[in-house]
Amino acid sequence: MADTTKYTVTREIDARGTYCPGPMMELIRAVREAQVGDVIAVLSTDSGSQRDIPQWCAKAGHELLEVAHLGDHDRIVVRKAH
Amino acid sequence: MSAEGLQHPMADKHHLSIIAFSGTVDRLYPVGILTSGGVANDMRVDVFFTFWALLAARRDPGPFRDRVSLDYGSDSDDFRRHYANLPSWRALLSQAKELGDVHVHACAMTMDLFHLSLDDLDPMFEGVVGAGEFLDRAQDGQILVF
Repeated sequence: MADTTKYTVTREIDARGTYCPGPMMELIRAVREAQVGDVIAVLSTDSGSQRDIPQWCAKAGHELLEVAHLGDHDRIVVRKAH
Repeated sequence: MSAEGLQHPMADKHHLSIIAFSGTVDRLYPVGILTSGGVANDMRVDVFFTFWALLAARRDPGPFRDRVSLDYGSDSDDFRRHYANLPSWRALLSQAKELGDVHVHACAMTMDLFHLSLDDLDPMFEGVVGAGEFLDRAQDGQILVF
């Protein structure tokens, strides 16, 4: 996991309350719209996102910076790598 | 009949083909969700709507709107209560098409049988193809049927 002091979130997406594949599709949309190097945080209450989003990052070649469990939701942070 | 959009997929990309046959939302939701999963995996996804699924995918689906399979009996109300929290299956499929390499086709035979034109269908459809042609193009990947 990256040092959380070493990045600034460019955009935060609140996908809490949406179900699989909602948070991941919102992230894919945001990454597509972002510039290379931008950091996107997704807030999710969907347990599938904890698994799906890191796998998507590995597959799509973007950098997973953090998966934080914050009580009633998760915060997943991704840097657009290309 | 036009087969526009039904080209041989790129060899470097995994290919998923989905045949949507059933016209009930309990089977149309997986079509939308698995297509989204395909997009997340950078796959090309071709979806072939035939028979009841195609009737349910009309701009005006008539009695096929939100129909749940009788297989579920009294549980169908329970299913409705749960999917009320989700975007519609059409919204899922449209979003997947917008974000990925997704192509939605209408079955030529069903179109003829029910005297349908592309204008009768949801705007996500890009063309009409025959079953044989669809299967020919699907040979390089997996095929799911709903």
